[in-house]
Amino acid sequence: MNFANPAALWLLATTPPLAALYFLKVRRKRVMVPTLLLWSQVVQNQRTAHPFDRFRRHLLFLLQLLALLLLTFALAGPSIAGKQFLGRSVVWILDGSGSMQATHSGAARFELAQEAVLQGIGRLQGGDEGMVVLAGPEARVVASFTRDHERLAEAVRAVKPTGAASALADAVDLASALTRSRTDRTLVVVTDGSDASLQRVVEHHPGVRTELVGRDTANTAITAIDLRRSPTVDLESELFVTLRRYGGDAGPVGVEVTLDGVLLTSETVEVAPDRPTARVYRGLGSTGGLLRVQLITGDALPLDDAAVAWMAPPRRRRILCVGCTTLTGRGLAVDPRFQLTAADASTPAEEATYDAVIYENAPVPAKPGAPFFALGPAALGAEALPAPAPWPTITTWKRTHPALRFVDPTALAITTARAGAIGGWEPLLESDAGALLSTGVHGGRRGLVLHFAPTDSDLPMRVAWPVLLLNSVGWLTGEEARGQERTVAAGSPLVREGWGRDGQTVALTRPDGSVLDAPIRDGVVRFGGLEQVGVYALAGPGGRKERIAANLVSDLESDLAVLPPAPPDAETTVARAAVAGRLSLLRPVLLLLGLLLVGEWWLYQRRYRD
Amino acid sequence: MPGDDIRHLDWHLYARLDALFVKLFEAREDRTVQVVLDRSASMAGSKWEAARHAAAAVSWASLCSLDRVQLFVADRGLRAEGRPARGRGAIHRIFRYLQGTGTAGGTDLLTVSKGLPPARAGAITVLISDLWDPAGVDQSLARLAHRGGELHVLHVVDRRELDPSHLSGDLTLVDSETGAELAVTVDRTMRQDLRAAAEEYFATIDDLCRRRGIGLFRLDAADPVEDRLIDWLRTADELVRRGASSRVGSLRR
Repeated sequence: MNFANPAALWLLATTPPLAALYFLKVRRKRVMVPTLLLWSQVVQNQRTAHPFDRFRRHLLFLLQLLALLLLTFALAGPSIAGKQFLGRSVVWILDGSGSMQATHSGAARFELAQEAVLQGIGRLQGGDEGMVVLAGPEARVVASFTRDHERLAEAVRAVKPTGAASALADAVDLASALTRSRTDRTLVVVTDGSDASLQRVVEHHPGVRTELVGRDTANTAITAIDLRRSPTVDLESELFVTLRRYGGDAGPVGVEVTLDGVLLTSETVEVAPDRPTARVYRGLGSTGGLLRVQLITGDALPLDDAAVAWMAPPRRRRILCVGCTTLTGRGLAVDPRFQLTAADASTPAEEATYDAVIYENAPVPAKPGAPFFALGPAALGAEALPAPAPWPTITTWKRTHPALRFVDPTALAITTARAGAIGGWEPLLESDAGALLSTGVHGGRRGLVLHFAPTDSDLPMRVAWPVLLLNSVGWLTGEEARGQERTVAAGSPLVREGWGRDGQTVALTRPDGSVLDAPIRDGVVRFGGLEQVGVYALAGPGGRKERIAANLVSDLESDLAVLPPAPPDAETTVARAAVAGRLSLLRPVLLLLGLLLVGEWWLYQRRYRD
Repeated sequence: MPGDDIRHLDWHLYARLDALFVKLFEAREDRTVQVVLDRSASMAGSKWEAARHAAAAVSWASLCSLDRVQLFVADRGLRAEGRPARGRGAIHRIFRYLQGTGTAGGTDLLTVSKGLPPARAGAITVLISDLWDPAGVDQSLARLAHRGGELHVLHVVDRRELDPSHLSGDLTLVDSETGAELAVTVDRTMRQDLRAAAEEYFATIDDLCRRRGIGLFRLDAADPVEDRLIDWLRTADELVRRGASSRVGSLRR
């Protein structure tokens, strides 16, 4: 026999003092009687007829002592080796993809799936445990293993579907990994069959049960949206939209395009089933804003009937180049997005009228009037850069930083550079002598510093020079995240670099208004899959902001045909396994204790109360 | 008839009936009623009150019958109240004595039986006791019965002693006479057994008295005493029959 809580056995040490108290306490009441003749006779007769009756006197005390022993025993958590029948472990993998929001007769597929899971929970027996995993763009455990079936049901009722494609296989893999140690487990996938990985799930996880919800329904959807720069008109964009009909017959579909809620165009498009229909919209204006394409269909899945794209204001960024050389001017002139103004000197007030300032052969003021790119400065305001070092050798650089995208500084020859760390700044390009390109904040302005003059290197001779210039200016002015990069498919992870220093946080506001904060680590801030369809807003240190549009652009999710179930494996009858374990004696001991107390009460009533 | 004593002629009857009648007289000897009152400690309480009432009643009835009454108190020994009392006026002396007497000591009826003066023929001995004698009552009652005269036993009991529903639990019982102690656990079984033992004991006394021709009357001190005493006095046939009235015989010529 084992005890789960052997320390409770110390309670037995109270037995001798209790016994002593009892016998000391039993001061019998003295009663004068006329004679003991009959009493003695009766007592003698009882002792003769019932020799163990002398213990009757202390029977109640003995029973109480026994109750104390049983209570101590119970508190000690006794158990013996034996076979025990374990409860089942059931995991429901709930498909939370966008197609699960399709409605049939007023009920969404996800609601039907929730009901199916709730029914399954209702069939659980007392010792069974359950878990629920939501399969969205990322698998998420909604409720961990618990035998509290009511709490499990509440978690199922509270879960919401996502607006993105799901990864059922990942969710099943997660569930399988979490239940690996359990011998008596059942995995149930509740889905509408839209996930392409469902077949793989069935093949790789024998015994997984699939419950399908929903029914085949025709659907018209926007399966692609893209905003690109017009090849013919400067600073204008074109909107590309792909429509598709799943099931049913060909027919007209109304399409409306709005910009920040203002109708730009409206048309009727003939959409044939199972063949994409592409549309291009031009003349989107020059103000920028949120483009929205809305299908007028009234079909079962409204989620894919609209798509949004963020269009940045198509205007040239005004760049002031103070002391720039011809090489620098030419590097920027290739990109029509930037309008370059050269100057020999400037004031912060003048600089404030520009989107960014480039300082070349010019001192960086203490408080620049705009984000700046300093090429080979000797100081930042009053703070001097490190002393020049000859021939620094490039060692490493942050390839993922927007300024260094597609820039290859390998074997860059630099005669002299003020290599070294700038206090509070982040090095992007490093050498054996120290940082050669750094980013940080100076005078309240975001800036980039090239620790060497371009003419002190062969950089202007390289293709990397204009790329570095345009990347840096684009990053300083926010231009690098224009258009396509700001429109993503729902479920895509969101990663941003250069938004601040490690430890700072960036806030993501979801379409439903909820806010999620994430820290910057190694210069990168990451958010999980954008589950909701709509416009997200990023807000980072220094007031930096960005808006991202997420759309359900997925053939699989828009095709509302309910796939037939994958060929099931031989039904695995999950018997309640009998495994070697320990049998708790707590209940039988408590039952015995209860009976003992009842018996003691009965005996007292019978003995002392007529 | 010749030889009759003319002094015994009843002249009043002669005047009325013109016939001569001779008065007949029975020789009336003095009768002593010995009242033995058990004053042992076991008689304390209601039993003592009932016993004193009974002793007073017997004494008064006897005195009214022109008998002599000798009152004794008994515990481990025997002690006379005083000289035998005669006449109604003596009752006050007996009352005073009874009022001034309490219970004490143990019970030894055998010693009492040995200490009582012999009884003449026709004498009556009334033993008022609860008969809780550690040595038993068989021998002592037999001695009392064989002394001569009639023996009546007024068995004073209190049923509340023999059916102690007021007692329960762990108790130490103390004998009022010996001071002996007995630890008991009084429960329903114990009380049932006690009642049974008491009934058996009383049955034994009943049988003993019946065999020895002893008049036995059981007086429960828990009941109203006066009514029970009157019943007892009425059933004590000799005491009622030997009252103040005289027997009148006729002498015929």
